[in-house]
Amino acid sequence: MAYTPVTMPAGAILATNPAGQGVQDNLNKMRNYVDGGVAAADIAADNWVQSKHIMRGHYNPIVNIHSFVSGLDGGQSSSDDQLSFIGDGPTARNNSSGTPPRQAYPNTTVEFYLEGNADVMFQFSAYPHTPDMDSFNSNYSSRLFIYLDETEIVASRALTTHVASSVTRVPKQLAHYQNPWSGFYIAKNLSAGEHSLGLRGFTRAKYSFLTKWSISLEAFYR
Amino acid sequence: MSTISTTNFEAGETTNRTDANNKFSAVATATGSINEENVRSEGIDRRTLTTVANGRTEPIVFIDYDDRNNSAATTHAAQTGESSVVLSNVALDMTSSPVTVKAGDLIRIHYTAMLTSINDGAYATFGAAGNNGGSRSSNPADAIGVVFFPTWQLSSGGAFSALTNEANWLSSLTAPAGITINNTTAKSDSIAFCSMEGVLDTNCFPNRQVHGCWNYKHTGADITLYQIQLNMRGPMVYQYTGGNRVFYAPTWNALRYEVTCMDIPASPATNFSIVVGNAQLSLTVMRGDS
Repeated sequence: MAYTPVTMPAGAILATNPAGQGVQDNLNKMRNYVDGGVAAADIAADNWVQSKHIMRGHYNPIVNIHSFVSGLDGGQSSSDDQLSFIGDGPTARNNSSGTPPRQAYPNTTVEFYLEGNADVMFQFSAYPHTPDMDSFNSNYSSRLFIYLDETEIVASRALTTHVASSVTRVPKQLAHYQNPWSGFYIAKNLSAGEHSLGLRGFTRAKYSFLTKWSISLEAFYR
Repeated sequence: MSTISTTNFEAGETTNRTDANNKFSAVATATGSINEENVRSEGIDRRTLTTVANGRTEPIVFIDYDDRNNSAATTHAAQTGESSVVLSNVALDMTSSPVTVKAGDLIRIHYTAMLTSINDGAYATFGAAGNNGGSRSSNPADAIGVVFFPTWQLSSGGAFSALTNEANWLSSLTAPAGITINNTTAKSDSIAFCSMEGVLDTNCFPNRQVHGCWNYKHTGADITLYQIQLNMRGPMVYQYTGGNRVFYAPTWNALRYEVTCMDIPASPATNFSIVVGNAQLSLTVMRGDS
């Protein structure tokens, strides 16, 4: 609550008195107020703050995240020849049925700490490459999902396929294409604490690697 | 004003109770209305702001997100590009608490959509695969694709409409006809154009996800957002017609696309059945200096 001095009574001005009406008593009240007693009601309704009053952000170059009073901004992008790679071994080798295990595409996860609950937006782009297989099978594909902590964002599913050219279909009928990947996710009211957002996936081809990729993070404290 | 203003005690002066009380009162007055005059430069940190009642610590006015998994995939039959459809199970409904957008606010709409398949197993932009007839050889590929786009509802229960300065992607056409775009009041910024090539089998499986976004700084009078939805139309052909850039709804399997030429879609159909899989949609409104 607001600083409220106590009127010193008539007579000798004492440093302190039993009723807390002395000079030192009032100075103590003022100290306590300045040292953490400021309340929301003390702040003017309008124009009480300008941008210059906000504490500047702190940049962490290791993880490339800028921490601000209002949230976080960060991300990563691949440098030249910095591939991100997963293989078929632990994921979907031999086109096995069921739900293939996911693997993280290395370097495409951002770990961050929220000081309070926040709305968090994550975006990514990636150019995947899934090499040919030696037969015609549309299942020789690679898939990608955004993961928030250990939760798969199923709706973020992206997919690419590369089909061999040495099969019986006439060349015009074959799709020599790779789908570039781009997507996003918004986590509303994400709780304070440590979190991670990143890209995981599996491949039914031999391997899948990202030749170019980038991820970004925006967190807005509530 | 929250600047503290007091009368100094001077050297040799005898202090008195009234002056001392006045000084403390002056501090009390100043601290009762803290404003920009006595907030220290960079003096506000997150701990300070946590005491702000009913206010966020950043410029977010509104943020929301919706999605649908592939299990909610929808099949849209008899598509020609002449009209649009709404993608179900992916929408933002703010009707219960509409969002007012003021001049200077930044509107950010993001969405993704997965074009799963089309029912034209021999599809190719330069003509049906497997047919190398002389009349279609050397055909240049056409820019054919499916258009995804968001629209909004600006009045409660009203019709959905095109985004500001965007072309009216909801308009109905009678083929052959198109939607003309430009860089001023009929833009195509908000759309995601998804080509349809894919793994070719009984059907054609593009399995292609596209990510569209629209970032717009609002000007003029306030608008109120009630709902946002995600739409799809196509196939459409991007082409130059009559001196304009146009997203065109041709008569499929006729003229340039007839069987003796590009044969799109492969006979005998004159339209497409399009399957759309997983999709996402989000809206963020960030306050400017309004």
